[in-house]
This record gives sequence, structure tokens and C-alpha cells, in this order.
Amino acid sequence: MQNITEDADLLVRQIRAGSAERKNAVKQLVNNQKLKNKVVSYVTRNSGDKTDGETMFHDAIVTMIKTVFSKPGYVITSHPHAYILGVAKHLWMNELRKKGRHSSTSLDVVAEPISDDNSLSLMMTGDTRRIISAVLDQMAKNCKQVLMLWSGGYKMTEIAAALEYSSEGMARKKKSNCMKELYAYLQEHPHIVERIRPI
Amino acid sequence: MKDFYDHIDDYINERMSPEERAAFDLELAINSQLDQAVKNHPAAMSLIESIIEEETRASISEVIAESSATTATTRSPAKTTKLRSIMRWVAAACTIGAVAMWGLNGYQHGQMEGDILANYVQDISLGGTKGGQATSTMDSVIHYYNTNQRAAAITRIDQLTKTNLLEEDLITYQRIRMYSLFYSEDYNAAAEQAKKLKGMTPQDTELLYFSLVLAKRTAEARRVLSMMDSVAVARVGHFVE
Repeated sequence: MQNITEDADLLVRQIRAGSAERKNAVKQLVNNQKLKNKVVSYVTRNSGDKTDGETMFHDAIVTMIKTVFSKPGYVITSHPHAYILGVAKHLWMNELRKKGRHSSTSLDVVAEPISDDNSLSLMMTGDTRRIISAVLDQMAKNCKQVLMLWSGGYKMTEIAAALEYSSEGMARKKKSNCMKELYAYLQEHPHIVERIRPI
Repeated sequence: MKDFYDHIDDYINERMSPEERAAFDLELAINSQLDQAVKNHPAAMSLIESIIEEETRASISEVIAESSATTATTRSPAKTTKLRSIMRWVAAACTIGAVAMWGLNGYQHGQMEGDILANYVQDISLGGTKGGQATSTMDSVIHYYNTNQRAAAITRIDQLTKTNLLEEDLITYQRIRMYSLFYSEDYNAAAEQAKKLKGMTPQDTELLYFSLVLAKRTAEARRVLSMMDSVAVARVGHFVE
């Protein structure tokens, strides 16, 4: 199997190619023991434990996938491992700040440029995640797929091809109906709207 | 514009011609449903943009579960015994959690303060009685629970929850009921009780997960697992196969 985690361009293409390819990318990243050890090592050297390190490793992977997927044309300019390590360091610094344990001298300097956007704010907090998961759980699978691709900037022709709809028009209609269902759901559940922090 | 709902994102992100925008504004003025949809659009987008995160976390869970299952197979032939021992560990942890949560609720309501709280929690941890007598309604439930009279605890809670209770107290009773059912090995009922809990803690979620695993409700267990954080998934994810 080709190691896509060593090649930034290939990794980006895999993440945006489709669900199966994305899953393969996640698998290769999660199973990369060397990369995981680097993240865990950084966190344990900076007031965290192994569990914190593993959490940051997984959160960094989630952040990277989410960023690449949601921004068509996004380019990772550094090596993927350096990118993930950089994201993990930022996430851990944020975590330490929240816990009030941040000392500017205790942390290693973050050398890797992450991006010029707000990638790190894309992460959901635990509580919000639970609410969102519960709502998404009720959404039909095909609605989730079509809306996910639409929000990722995919063209309707690409969505139709990926989800095997007979035409671009069918994909457009599906997206329209799913959005209406979601608006109706949110209108019926105003307390959920209040709890979901817009990203 | 054929369908205004299809253009809400364009409207909010200013991707409309002046004519289209004017038409949209006109419709907004007379269509309260559309107006509400526009207001809810940011929340809708938050949900939609979270789908990819959910998908990725589910993939990570699967990968971890796969590798944990491989490790478990090679390390532990007596899987059932291991599962049971973890069940007991979780139940023990939850007992402490329930008492702590009760103490915190009481404190927040101004029913106890400072040292009194500490003494009270310590007293409860020793059996929930003062001089052999239960000191309050909550005491009696805790006492039943801590002395392994779980059926009695459940019966008492069922009586109490028919009365008007503060929401925080109700949650605590529901939580103790859930632990009682779980520890009585009524996993289906424990799972159902867990689902009714408001403001589930990660510990509650883990208990729900284990209840579903033991009740052999695998699909539901997987869904709950996908909501857990990666550390919990790494620890317990392999039990659902």
C-alpha cells in the first residue's frame, strides 16, 4: 500500500477524493506510530500525559481532514507529519491556556506554519459535539452525504457522480430537500439552535 | 428565483445580483418561514460542517477498535472475564461520580456549604446514614444503593420521581437509578435510563455504551462510541464488534 502520509499533495487529493479514500488516509495517519510518538512526546514534555498526547494526535488528524475537506484548493505546504505535529502543538497550547497552565517559556517553539486561516477554531467542543452528534444521528445518511459534499465545495456534477445520482438535477433536488428538512427541524427545536455555536 | 430556500446561503454570503437580492428581501418581508430559515442558517451550516468531523472521528474509532481487537485477541483469551472486570470498574467509578454529583448539586442549591459539604459527602460515602438513621430522602436512596439494596433504591426513586423535584435532584436520582440497574445487570433498562439523562457526563456516556454492549445492542453501542472522545474509544472501543 502506498504511504500517502509522506506526500502532502497526494494526501490532500485522497481526503477530497471520496469517503473510502479518506478513510484510508485516516487509517494510515492513525496507525503511524512514529508520528503518534512525536505528538505524545511533545505533550508529555509540556505538562501533559500520554492520554493527553493521544487525544491531541487524534484531534490534529480531525482538524487537518476537516480543513482540507472544507476548503477546496487548500494546499499543505509542509510535510504532512510536520503539519500534524504543528496542529497538535497549537491544540495543546490552547488546551493549556484553558487550564491556566500555560507558560510561554515551558513550551517548545512551534516551528511549523499551520495556515493563515482559523483551522484551529474549527474543532467542536465536547458538549457541542454531543448535541451535534445527536442531531446528525437523526439525519438520513444520504442527506448527510449530499450536504457534507456541498459544504465541502463540491460541484453538483461531482456530487451526482460520487453519490450515483442519475443527474446533476437530482443531486440539486436532493440537497434542496435535505436543507429544507434541516431548516424545519431547527425551527421545531429552537433550543438546539441556541446551543450550537456557529463555526 | 425558483426556490428562495435554495438561495439562502447566497443571500447570507452576498452572492446575489442587486435584482435577486431585492426579490429575496421582498419575499423575506412576507414569508416568516423563510425569515426563520435565514436566521437558522448559521446553525444549519454548523451542523453540516460538522458531518466531516463526525465521519473522521468514526473512522478513527474504527481504526483504533480494529487494532485493539487484534491486541485483545492475542493477549486475552478470556474476553468475557475481562469485560466483566471492566464493568465492575466502571460501576465503581460511577458510584463515586453519583455521590460527588449529588454533593455538588446540593452545594449549588445552597443546601450545604464548605465543611458541611465535605462532612456530608464523607458521611454518605460511609453509608449514607447518621446514627443508623437515614437523614434525608436523598440519604435513604444513597443508603440503599451503597448497601447493595438496589431494588429498594430503584423503588424509592420511582416513588420520588412522581413528586415535584428540582431538576438537578431529578437528574441525580435518574443517575443513581441508572447505576442501580446497571449493577443489577439489567443492561437494557440501564441503557434506557441513561438515554433519559439530561446533561450526560463522559462517565454516563461510557456506562450507556457498556450497557448497550452487554445488552447486545451493537448498532446503538457503535453510535454511542462515535460520540466518545478518542481516549475513551481507545480504551473501550474494542468491546463492540
